[in-house]
Amino acid sequence: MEKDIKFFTNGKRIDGRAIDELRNIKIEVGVFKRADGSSYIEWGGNKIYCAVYGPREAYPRFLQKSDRAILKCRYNMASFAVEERKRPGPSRRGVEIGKVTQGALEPALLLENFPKCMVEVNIEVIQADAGTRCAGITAASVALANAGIPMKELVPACAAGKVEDKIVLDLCKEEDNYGQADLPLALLPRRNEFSLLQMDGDLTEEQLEEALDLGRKGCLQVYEIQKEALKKKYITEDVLNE
Amino acid sequence: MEFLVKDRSIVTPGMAIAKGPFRYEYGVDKFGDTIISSVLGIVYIENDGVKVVPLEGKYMPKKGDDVIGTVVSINPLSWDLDINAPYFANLHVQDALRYVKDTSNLERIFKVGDVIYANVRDVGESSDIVLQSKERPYGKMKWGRVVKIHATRVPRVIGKKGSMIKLLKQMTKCEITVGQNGNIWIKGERQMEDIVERAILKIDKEAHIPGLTDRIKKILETELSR
Repeated sequence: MEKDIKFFTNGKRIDGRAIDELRNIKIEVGVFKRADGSSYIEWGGNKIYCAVYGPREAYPRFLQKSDRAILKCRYNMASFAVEERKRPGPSRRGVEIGKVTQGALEPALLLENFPKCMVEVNIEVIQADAGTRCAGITAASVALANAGIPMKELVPACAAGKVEDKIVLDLCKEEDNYGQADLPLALLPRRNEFSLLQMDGDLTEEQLEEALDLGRKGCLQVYEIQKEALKKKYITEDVLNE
Repeated sequence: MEFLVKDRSIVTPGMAIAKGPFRYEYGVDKFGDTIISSVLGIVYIENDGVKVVPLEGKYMPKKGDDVIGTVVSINPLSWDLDINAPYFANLHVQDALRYVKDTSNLERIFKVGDVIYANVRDVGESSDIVLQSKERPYGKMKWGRVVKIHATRVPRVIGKKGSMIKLLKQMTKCEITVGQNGNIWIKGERQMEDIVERAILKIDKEAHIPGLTDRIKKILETELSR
């Protein structure tokens, strides 16, 4: 199977992108009425909703921290999100992604302002097309800002990878499934630190360095889109034209 | 000292606002020698300080605030009130009424679901909120209805020196009480209540766009002439 796919034609990738080009990203803010903050992201073929609740009293009680709030992240994929029906409900993969999402977002939040509270992040994948954890983190970060939770910075995320011994940005479905490596990253842009770094496949040391550099550039592009989306919600043209 | 954004522009968390030594109030954080925003909000730059007024977020109680809450549960000698804060607020019998004959059945005084106008007496170190409702304007709100808005937009409902609230009261002849936590209690004629509710929700939606009082006045005029 792997041999059948030709990843590059005339220097372009399968979906016509350049090596360091992201897929189309569209973020909407405040899509749910009942949630304190929410967002919707379309990243290539990924369609993800994110809802944030809180800060509110932490339950169960024993999880409460007397000096700060706790962050709970839940990642769930709809049964129709992938080609073959996914068995609904929590899975090993979902729990893992929830955990790494929490780890990626927590260093950016100022949770010490809300002792004994919890902040809940729900990520719901409606359609999956490679790189859902990065898209999920990106959307969650925007939803957290929309919920008014104080934070040091937004967290953009983006994947880098290796296909046919070339380092590429933001893998598409085929590259993810049949490529050589996948490296999801989440960046704290101001501090220039990564809060998420996973690797699937193998990279040499030089390739890893190269992928990190490329991933960082990708994250910074995503960061701009996040900021734009948040601002756009409040600059409503129809009101000004009235 | 140098500014990196314009006064009254919208900033997102992590955006650099100013460089250099600066007095800062709330909604901002320091990173090295730059001052960055920590919330999604609007920057206000004054001669010697910067602050970011958040556009979203829950109400954080301060001592002395007047709030409107609903009773959610009854304890042996106190009530728990939902005031849109991260925590429930506590109203003790001693602080509820000036004179209580019989504390055996608190349900006779305030039931679950009652709307109460109260004053924040104290906010503890671990953020427990203590209320009091002894004196005159405080107490149970009878009849009327409660409109919920974002706590961050309450100043807009009041307006500059109370201009907005005065406008609403004068034009609709409703009684309006505004809680700092974003709960607004309205009492008046049914249709007037409807009009006020719509106006308040519009204020909530368009709080950050200038020229609000004029717009609301226009809407009220057209609605009332119907």
